[in-house]
Amino acid sequence: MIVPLGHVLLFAGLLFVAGLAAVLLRRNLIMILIGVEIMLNAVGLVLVGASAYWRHPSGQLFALLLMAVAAAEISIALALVVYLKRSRGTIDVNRFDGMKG
Amino acid sequence: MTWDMLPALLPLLALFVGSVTVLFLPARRALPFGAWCGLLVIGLIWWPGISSEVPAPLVSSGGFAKVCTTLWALIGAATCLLANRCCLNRRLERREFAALILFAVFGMAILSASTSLVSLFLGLEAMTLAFYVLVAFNRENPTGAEAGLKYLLPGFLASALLSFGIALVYAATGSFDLPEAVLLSAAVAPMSSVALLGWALILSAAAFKASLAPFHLWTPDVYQGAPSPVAGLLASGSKGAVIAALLGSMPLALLDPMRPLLAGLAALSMIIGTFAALPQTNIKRMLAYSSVVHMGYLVLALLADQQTGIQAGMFYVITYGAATVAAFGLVASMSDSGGEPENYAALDGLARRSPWRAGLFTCVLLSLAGFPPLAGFMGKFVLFGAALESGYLWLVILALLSSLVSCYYYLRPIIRMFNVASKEGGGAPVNGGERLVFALCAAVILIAGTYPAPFFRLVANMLP
Repeated sequence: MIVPLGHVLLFAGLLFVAGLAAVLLRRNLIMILIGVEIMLNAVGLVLVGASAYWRHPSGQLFALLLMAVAAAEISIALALVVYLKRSRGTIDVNRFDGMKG
Repeated sequence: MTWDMLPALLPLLALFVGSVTVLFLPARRALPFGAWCGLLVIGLIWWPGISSEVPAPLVSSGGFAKVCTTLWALIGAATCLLANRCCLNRRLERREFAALILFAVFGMAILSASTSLVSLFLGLEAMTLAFYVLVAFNRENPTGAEAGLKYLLPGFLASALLSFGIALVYAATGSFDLPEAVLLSAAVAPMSSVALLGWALILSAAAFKASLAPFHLWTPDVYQGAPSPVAGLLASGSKGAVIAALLGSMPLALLDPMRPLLAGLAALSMIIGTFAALPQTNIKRMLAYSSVVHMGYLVLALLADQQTGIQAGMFYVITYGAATVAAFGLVASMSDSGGEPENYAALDGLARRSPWRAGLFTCVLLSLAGFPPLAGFMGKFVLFGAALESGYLWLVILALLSSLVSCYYYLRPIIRMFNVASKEGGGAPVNGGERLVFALCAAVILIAGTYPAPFFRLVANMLP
């Protein structure tokens, strides 16, 4: 393995934190979903890097599985985005504050 | 994968095939079919002819997995029966509802039986994906959409944290196998920082799903917006499955650096949940905060010695599950086309209008509060005893104080129910399915409180 595992982990960690920042700071639902996708890509990077480090393919298989699960998640989320946009006319998460207590 | 493994996988396959088949049935048959499918799964698990010598990969088929799958299948069947009224009242699609409930149970069964980090992730995702839709199922209700959004965003965050944690554990240990990964992480004396971070992220994802404070903020809104039977399944089944996974397949407490984190989560959940529940005037929100407190108690089982922890924890999950399913089922059974009676004001004089419902609701709330002859008391007794044995005196004192304070918010709705000066007009009569579920829950609450021996035998089966 040419790139040391430490560098892969560091880069993936930075990517994960960037995605987390997008989820926590952005108020537009689409941008939040993009943040989640960035976090999941960081996970894929760690899995592939670790798989090369340990020299067995299970990490790469899990990375493929993760893509499928992420696609399923995002399709449900986009369906909800379309529904919210139609019923409320907004996808700003701060506007959804009808329940309190 | 060979044919020898089929018996071990049969219950899971039955759940999956059932959740697809139900989509092709006539709508009025869908929910009863869901309930029968749950019972069929229980039959497949315990039928003596089907023995599984060859273990399947990724999921275990031992005693622990058997009892857990039985519990989730029972809760799923009860949810199907309770959902009938609210689906009819609000013209919800019954086929899709039953299919999603069975799929959520399928996910819970995989989650609590997982022996690998891969199946843990898949089970949690299968369960959560079904719940994203179930929570927002009532499209006419604006709070339903909001609840769906508020379940979706923390759910996404939790699945990202969980998968990153799994990837880090894999990078540190080179194994997805759960017992092996735990052993390899614990073997190195100062645990490697990558593995430590990985396990901490997995724990925080589990805390999101089990709504332990400070990761509980989604809970009250989601319970309030979701249809009551779904909220009941979410509170008893999905949280129970996460706790079961932490108890059985992923003993995080074996890793020493995790113990203070677990103790902190337990203490915060008890304190924050108790104080947030005090001013509530909405039944579903009160039950949501009370579930935060109960999950805090259940963390005590994780901290105890593993053998006693599994027994005490699973007994508590059974008692808490019966009480929660009955409580949300009662709220659902009093709903009409206008909606569910959520505020305490709607309970005024229930004892006169519908004495059986008031009696059962009183029983359920007293059991949740932990009054002596009922199941909740026995559950707390066993659980706190197990925590005392492993030396967590301060947490047990905190738990006792919080259950003392909890009497206030459990007794408030009871007092409203027996309020004499009230309006007339009875609720809709209880239908057959609801009567069956209520009788079963009441039986569990009364028997587990007065004669708990059969339940103790059941959970003793679960030990490895």
